Amino acid sequence: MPKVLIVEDDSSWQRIHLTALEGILEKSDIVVVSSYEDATSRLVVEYAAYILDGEFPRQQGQTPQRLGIGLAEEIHSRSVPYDRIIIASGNSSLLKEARALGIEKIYSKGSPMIEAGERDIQQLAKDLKPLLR
Amino acid sequence: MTQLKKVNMDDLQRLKPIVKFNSAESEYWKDMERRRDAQVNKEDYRVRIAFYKDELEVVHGRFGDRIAVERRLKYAIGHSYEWLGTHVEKELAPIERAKLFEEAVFWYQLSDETIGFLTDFALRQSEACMGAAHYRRLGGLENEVTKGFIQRGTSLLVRVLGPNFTVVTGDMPKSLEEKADVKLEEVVTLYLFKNKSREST
Repeated sequence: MPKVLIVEDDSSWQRIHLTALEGILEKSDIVVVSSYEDATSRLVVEYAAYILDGEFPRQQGQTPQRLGIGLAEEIHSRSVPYDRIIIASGNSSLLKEARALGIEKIYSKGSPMIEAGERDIQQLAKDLKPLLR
Repeated sequence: MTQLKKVNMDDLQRLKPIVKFNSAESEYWKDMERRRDAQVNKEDYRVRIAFYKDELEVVHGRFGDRIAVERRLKYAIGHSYEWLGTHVEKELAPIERAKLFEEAVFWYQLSDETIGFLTDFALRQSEACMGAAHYRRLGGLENEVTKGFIQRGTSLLVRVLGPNFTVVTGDMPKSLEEKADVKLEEVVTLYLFKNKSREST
């Protein structure tokens, strides 16, 4: 079974997450879904680590909702400790909410510029390695 | 990636030989059904699911890169979970019953991912999403994830059947049944359980 579930609707950030996992995991060990609705089809599987976008959806004209937090709570309710869940968001108050929930591995999305992306990738890879042992 | 697209007519022609059993696969399937019926009590769907999962491991690599059997086994697992949740384990607590539908959703999705397209299997997945949402609500789980199941159930219907229809409760409208005629194979009908009454909500 795959080891990491990525729930992310932005393709740039999907790429950043996947790059972080290069060299750590085989592609077949990673499942990427593009919305929290798609994530509902994966709830019965337990993964070693979860990378969840904090807010959905990203479509123009729609107000983003903090669905990543709800998803994290749902996953946690299935006996997955919060230390295996990573929340990624550009919204600082959402990240604060995630931390208050008990999620230590919060991951602040900066601008998806190359420099910021590389920094994020290094941090994400550092966070993920212990979870995948 | 799990963002699957709907099969168009060109895809359909290309996929038919892929999903249709060849002679070796047909032979395997008949033998598998014979063994299943000999080993598994017809009403024991949990054992039936375990049987299919074992078969999935056994056939891994047996047919080279062909995925027809793997796809159909995954569908059979999803179908068994859905049947279990709908007709067999009626005494389960709603949350546990919801999990059976969640399993069905997962296996139906895996089945379509085997070929990389949303097929008529997605219609069953849609129904299972609604079952999961229904029993989560009955169990008091009225949250975003429950809404997520409803949205997924609806969006699968829209993605497979097109946007110009209305979902109604009760019997399947004739027009919708006709649309389901565009399907990959005879194993799936739109509402497999249409002759069984669903429990009242």
